[in-house]
Amino acid sequence: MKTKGRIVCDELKRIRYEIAKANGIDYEPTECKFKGECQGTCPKCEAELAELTRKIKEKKNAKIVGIAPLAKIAIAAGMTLSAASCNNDMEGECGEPDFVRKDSVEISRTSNDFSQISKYNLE
Amino acid sequence: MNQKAPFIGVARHRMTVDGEGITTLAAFHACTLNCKYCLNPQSLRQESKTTIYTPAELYELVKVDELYFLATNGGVCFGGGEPCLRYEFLNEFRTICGNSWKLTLETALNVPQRNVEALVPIIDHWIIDIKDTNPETYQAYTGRDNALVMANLRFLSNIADKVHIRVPLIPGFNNKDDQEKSVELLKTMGFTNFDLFEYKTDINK
Repeated sequence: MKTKGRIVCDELKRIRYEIAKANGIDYEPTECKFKGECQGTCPKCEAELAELTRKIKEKKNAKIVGIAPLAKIAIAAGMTLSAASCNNDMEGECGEPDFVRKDSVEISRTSNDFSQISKYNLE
Repeated sequence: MNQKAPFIGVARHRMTVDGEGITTLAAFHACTLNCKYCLNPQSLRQESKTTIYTPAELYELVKVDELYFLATNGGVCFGGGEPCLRYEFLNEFRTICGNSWKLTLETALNVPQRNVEALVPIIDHWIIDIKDTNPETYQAYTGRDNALVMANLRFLSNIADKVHIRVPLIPGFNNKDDQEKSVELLKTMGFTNFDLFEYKTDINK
């Protein structure tokens, strides 16, 4: 079963792929070999994003806006992993996500705090 | 210009919880309320660890995800704490980031109306947690009067399509009838987007 971080990672990869494809840029996400708990991004993913951003900036008339809407997966904090792990193609079969709803927006509940990036291992 | 503000955290790659698209949540320190079930009590304590950013510094930090923002119609969500207290910071941030990023506020709206007026031109999406429209319930839960909230809601009813109102069931403070009364009142004000749910607390785990 995918962790929340892995679901975020996969979605970000998909978005990078769609941006590249829409702009005629060769981009194939590298296979992730990270064995620890994925936090949604890592230095390797960050490097891929930076490289894609650089290539997009070099292009004239790059197409970015609105080309990659979020897949129909809910990645709310506290959501049950079974619901979060629904395949993107299974829209409508996942049922209502089980949100754990609380007062305020809990900052510590989120992954990918900027301060965490340096802690990841490059593999 | 040259606003500075303390933040309790900045979190990236949020999906579906702050509106449409990939968002980065920037949470300000300081709030006008003292809610019993507040998830970020560090936003209230003076001694909390915070990071100070200017709008330009925050922009430099979060722009790494600009491709994601633009591709998914996302952007930056400001929460806290109470983001409406920092309207000058937010105005400067909008000037720096331009109009292509979606800016969302997650607010309790218990601030002077001039703050809200200053934010209307630059905010794309308002997520407002009204707690409860009953003044006594609100006072008991937050320790504050809700007159400013109601006045600000009336002001924002002109842009109701940009507003999403959270109407919670608050264990020990209100019930489903109260929740429904709040919704009915808000409907008469012109609002149509509601999020009804129950706070999860130690009481109802």
